[in-house]
Amino acid sequence: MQTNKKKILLIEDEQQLRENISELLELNNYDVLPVDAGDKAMQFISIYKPDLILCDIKMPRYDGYWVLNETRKLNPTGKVPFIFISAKVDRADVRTGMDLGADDYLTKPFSAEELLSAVNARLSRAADQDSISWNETDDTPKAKSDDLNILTPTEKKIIFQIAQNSTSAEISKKYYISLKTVENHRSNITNKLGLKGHLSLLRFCLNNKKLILSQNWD
Amino acid sequence: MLEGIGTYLYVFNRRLGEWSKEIYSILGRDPQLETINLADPNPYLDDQQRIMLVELSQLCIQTGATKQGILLFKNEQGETRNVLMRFSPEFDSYGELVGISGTMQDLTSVYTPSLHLTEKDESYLSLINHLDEVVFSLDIHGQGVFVNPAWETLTNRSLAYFIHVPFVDYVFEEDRELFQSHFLNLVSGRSQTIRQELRIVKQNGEFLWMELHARNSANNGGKSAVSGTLMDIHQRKIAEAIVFNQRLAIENAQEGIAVLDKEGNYLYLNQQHVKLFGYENESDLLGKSWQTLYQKDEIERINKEVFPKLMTAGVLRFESQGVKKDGAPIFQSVCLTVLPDGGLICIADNITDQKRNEAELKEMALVASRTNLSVIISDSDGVISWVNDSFTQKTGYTLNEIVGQRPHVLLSGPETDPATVQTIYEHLGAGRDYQGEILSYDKYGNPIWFYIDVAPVRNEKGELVKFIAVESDITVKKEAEANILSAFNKERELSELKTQFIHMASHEFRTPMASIQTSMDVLKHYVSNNSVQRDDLKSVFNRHHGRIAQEITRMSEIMNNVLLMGRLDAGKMVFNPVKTDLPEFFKNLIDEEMLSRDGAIIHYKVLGSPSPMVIDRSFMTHILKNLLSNAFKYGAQDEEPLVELKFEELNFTLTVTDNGIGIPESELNSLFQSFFRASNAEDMQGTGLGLVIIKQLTEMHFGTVSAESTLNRGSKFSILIPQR
Repeated sequence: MQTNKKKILLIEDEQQLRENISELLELNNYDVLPVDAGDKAMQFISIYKPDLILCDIKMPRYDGYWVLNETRKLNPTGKVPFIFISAKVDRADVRTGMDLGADDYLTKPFSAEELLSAVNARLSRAADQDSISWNETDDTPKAKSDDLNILTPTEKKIIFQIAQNSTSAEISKKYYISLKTVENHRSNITNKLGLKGHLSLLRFCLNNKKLILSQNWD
Repeated sequence: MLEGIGTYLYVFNRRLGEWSKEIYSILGRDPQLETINLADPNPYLDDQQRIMLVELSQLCIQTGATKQGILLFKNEQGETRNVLMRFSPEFDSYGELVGISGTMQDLTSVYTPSLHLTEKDESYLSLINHLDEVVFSLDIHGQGVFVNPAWETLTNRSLAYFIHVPFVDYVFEEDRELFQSHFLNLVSGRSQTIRQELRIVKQNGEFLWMELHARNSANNGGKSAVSGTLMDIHQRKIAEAIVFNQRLAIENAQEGIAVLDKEGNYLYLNQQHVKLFGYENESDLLGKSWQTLYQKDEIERINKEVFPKLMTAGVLRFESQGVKKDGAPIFQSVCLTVLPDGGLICIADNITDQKRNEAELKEMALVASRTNLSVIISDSDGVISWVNDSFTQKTGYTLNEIVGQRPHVLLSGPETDPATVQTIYEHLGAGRDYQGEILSYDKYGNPIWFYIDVAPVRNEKGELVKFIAVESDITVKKEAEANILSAFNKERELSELKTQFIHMASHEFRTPMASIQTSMDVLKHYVSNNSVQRDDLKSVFNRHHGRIAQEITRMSEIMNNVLLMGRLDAGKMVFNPVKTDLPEFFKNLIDEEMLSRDGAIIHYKVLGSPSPMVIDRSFMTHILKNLLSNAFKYGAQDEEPLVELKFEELNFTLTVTDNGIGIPESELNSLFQSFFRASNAEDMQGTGLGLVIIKQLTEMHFGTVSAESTLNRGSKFSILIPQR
């Protein structure tokens, strides 16, 4: 069932909006990976292999134009549909986005209908074209179900949430634990799985999403 | 032509003379019987005469020029003969002197006209010989026949050389023509007598003025055709020439010169004096009284004031106004000198132009000294020599402090444009004038804008002698210009602010609006989906209700800041200070803030000994909320901001510290400008108004805001509020 879902990479630095868009898309049967920064997005893109990218323009450090450029560098043979979401409504801004090769431009605020029709239109058009070929650059290990058994029950809950694309803040609210505690757990999980680096756990979860979500730990 | 002239030739290398038969006849010798040898002792010449002959011949050889003299020869009968002997040098074809030739002429019969007279009256001759005047007679050819010794006395010429020499040779070249025509008139009988003032050339080449009187004397018999006298008039002629020159000088003088008789009538007026009063001829005024040239008042004044003084002093200088022929006034400087006969010499100089210039100069000096414009006169090196009152009043310097200074040293100040000063000096150095504006400073350092117009002044030779600068104070104009400019800039700033505000607002509202819209769409989705459980729906609703509320709060904050900014700009915020227990006041604010931020933590410290302080509570609330909003926005996610309240004796400091992204050092100064966003925060949500508001509200408390920041390490904002 999950294999049929179209995958959407969502990059938006505003938490509220990011969560809302994510929720709307999921309610409409899309698989969404929400990310709050451009550089993070580029860490996951070739693992996640999105069918479409929704991206804010105005973000700290790495903006939407940067993400678009980096994405186009990654898969030169096919084009992932790329939609900008922006509060920049000047004609000049829209034009810049389109000139850079974005496929559509959603101006804030927008309704669910506008969002979904833009996404649908891009995806159906992309379906007619050659399939997108992602360069396999991922070196993150594939896990077996046994590997996950070394995790404590709390850690299992948390990795389950991470695989569902929840952020630390969301996890902390869901389980009524502090943000620091969530971060500590994440750090422990990363060490136990033999991973290194801040984002490696997220990459691991993306890579082994099916496996993690298929576990019945409750 | 003349009888009894013999010739001879003596060639040196032959040591022998050739003597013509005329010479033998003069000497009464027979050439067949003897050979003449004059250089050796001989019976024809006594020793004295022979030596004279040898000396003459040697003089001729030495000078190579013809020499002549009268020698006394004795003939065979023992009679003395007056013989004119000429010696001329003889040259060969190579120009070598080879001998002497000459003539001998027996003048005995013509040389002694005195004999002629003697026959009549010896005493008469004696009289003639002692006359101071020259008495002479000439033959029909104009050659001398007789002359008395006065000739030799006056001209230093030998009497012998008068005889048989054309008289005209002794007449000064310029007078010859007239003399020749007079002479011809006499001998031809056209005139019986002639009179001529002529110049006779003396032996030494100088001339002597003489008055010639001559008459035809042909009827008297004898050789003379013309006889006459020459009178020495040299002194008179020289005196006349001097007087003539003096008269010429007076006549052509630049001053009017007149001579008046003792009645005050003009005896003489030079051309200038005639012209001075606008007349054409001397005769227009000759014999007339000086009073014709003056008006009644002036005549009275001269009679009353001038003449009494003149009579005692003898000479008097004064200025007087006369009337020209056409009635126009004439100003003259007059010098009167009393003459021994009671007459006057009057020397008058026209000073009408000078008077007019003086009057103009006086007016101009008055203008220069009274004008509002500042006038500076400096020498050719640019050193000030004079300034007018306006300048001293304007700059506060005294004349003594200014004179000797250079304008740019005196007037330049901190904001005087050095390029302008240099341009002025370049212009003046090249002798060109300059116009332009320059910022100057008075003695006390107050700025004055001058429009300066400097012109070089040259003398008649074209040499630069001074500069005159006229400076007008355009400070008011410049200030008005600056005001207009600043008003214009402010207008433009406002317009820019408006644009920026619209831009900011549209951008800042869009994201929360997008959140609200999507939240509503999510809720709508759940509501329209019947399969959703009531409990799930409730939790979804609560979640989105919270989000919507949060976004609305955010939008209100932006709105509040914008409104606050507007009211601050319009001066509508009323400062309402109230004595407040600060530690408690801030604690409540911080608690509220933590609640509204979903339980975020804010550290709070109170330092020093708290005492009640006077603040505007509403303003202080805005200040802290904005500072905390920034601390959360730009702070590190896992670090909590710190609020410190520090009491000191006369003030308190509120400090908010975060450990966030910080602010680039180069941008710290721009922090408090409207809509300014640090380069590292550009892509984050924000109005760019918070710090501006904090600053203005702090300043209404007479306080100061300061920011310390290190990029990527965090920022610290301090509000210092003094208590009075």
